[in-house]
Amino acid sequence: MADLSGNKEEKAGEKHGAEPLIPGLPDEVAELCLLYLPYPHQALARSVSSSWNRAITDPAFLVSKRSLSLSLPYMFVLAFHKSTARIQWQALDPRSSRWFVLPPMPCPKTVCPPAFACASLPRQGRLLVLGGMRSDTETSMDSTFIYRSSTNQWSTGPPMLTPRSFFATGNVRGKIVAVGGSGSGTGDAITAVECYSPESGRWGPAAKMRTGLARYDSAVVGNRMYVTEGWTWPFMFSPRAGVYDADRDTWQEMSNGMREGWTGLSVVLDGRLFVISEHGDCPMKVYAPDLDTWEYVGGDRFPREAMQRPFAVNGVEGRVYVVSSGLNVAIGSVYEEADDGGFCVKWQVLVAPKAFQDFAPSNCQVLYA
Amino acid sequence: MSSSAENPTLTAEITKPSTEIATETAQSAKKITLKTSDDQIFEVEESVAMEFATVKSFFEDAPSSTDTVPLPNVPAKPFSQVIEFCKEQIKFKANPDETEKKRSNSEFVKEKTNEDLVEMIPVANYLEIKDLLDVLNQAVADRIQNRSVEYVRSFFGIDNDFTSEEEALLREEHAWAFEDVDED
Repeated sequence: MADLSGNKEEKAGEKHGAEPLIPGLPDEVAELCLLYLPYPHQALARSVSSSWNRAITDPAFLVSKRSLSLSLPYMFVLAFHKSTARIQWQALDPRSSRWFVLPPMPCPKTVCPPAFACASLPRQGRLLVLGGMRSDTETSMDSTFIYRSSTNQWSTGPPMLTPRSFFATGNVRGKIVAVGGSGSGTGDAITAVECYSPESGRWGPAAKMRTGLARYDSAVVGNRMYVTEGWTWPFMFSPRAGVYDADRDTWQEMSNGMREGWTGLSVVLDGRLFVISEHGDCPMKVYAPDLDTWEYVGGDRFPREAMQRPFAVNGVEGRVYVVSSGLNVAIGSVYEEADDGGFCVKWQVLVAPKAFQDFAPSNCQVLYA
Repeated sequence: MSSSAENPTLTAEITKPSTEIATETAQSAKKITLKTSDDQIFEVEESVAMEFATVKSFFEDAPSSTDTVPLPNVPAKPFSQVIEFCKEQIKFKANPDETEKKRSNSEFVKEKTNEDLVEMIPVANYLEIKDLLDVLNQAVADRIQNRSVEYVRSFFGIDNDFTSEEEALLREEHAWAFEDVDED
């Protein structure tokens, strides 16, 4: 297995011979101890010795970790300093409530934080940050930055075909779809769509949207990506929307009920689409596909006192994670009521460390790490 | 790994009195006699010994054997702790209770020293006690996470074989992670 290690480490390997991972233990047993280390301590442990570095960096390590079901979900939050606009990624371990600050993303210094779009390949522990806008030149970017949780490192991926900012992206059956956004000038709405295949590592064109949108919220359910402007203040125009079918590479109209009731940030749990509404006390709603309507989710009220806008939302394994200004996190456990089958939610708030009080979230992604 | 001769036949050595009797229960329960690498004799109840996959397969090959089973890779000190674990484990076989089992497992590792844990791992591996190996790996990972690299090295007796440049480079990559480690 050590033969698969990268060229970079080969030199060290020759120099020191095949040092055991842990003296007195066969390497395959010692590797188990390393596999049980949770994120991000694994990446940290690379500096213990060159044999540890080799073992942890080996792609087979991640495969073993997955096959032993030792990968757990973490929330990765893109946030920016409210006065300096400095961007910072951090990861939350929801089990220990501990945060870890990631190394800086290799992007230009002056960027507009909410202009990026983010997607993830959760099971591969990879995070993708796409496009965005330079705030000095106000030009859209075509860049792809990739973070790997196994090594806690950023790399630069292949650029998108179209520079874009303020757009939608999502993981549709393992492919990353980038939709719409703004190009060079304001009012220049892009209808082009492109698709990144992690296997080939390339971007390719996909079917164009019928019309570009002024703002984007999106959700992926099954093989479809739902894209909408959403109802938003000052509620003057009915929102435009579209549905991308990734299997057929076609666009369809969004049903009226879905479009009209999409009143906030969306999150998908077990194939069900929810929104955390922007208005009032931020009620949570769930979309009922059979009736083409939205239904209110019962249970607790949203913990509005601890949660100031802006929000970033994501969900995994039956829980919704809403990140607020200052990076407080409201965790909503969603359950179905036994008698009428309606959804209910139970909220719990994780108060963020003081160090995050001047940060506002702009995206939240789930990775298994 | 071991160079000791494997001789499954009864030898004169075991006529010396057992230094440790691993069970207090009724005389009628069938006992298996096991000999560690440092020539200690353990008499272990059959149900406990069958937790050791290596020993179990020995008896599957020779069902009526009454010979002493040599364990050439197993020193007595970690072995007695492994027996302690397996005696607890078989209670949960008859009466499965995951919460209680977890509590019992964490109780078991809590009172062990770092050295105890590291010594038990090769024994659990050699005897193929999967549950114990999982528990030990998790316990070791728990003890070294959020610790400094120096602590991890001394925990396992690992030499730092990086050049100072290589190490500086690696630490630079995740300097952030050193801000919040536990006291050694």
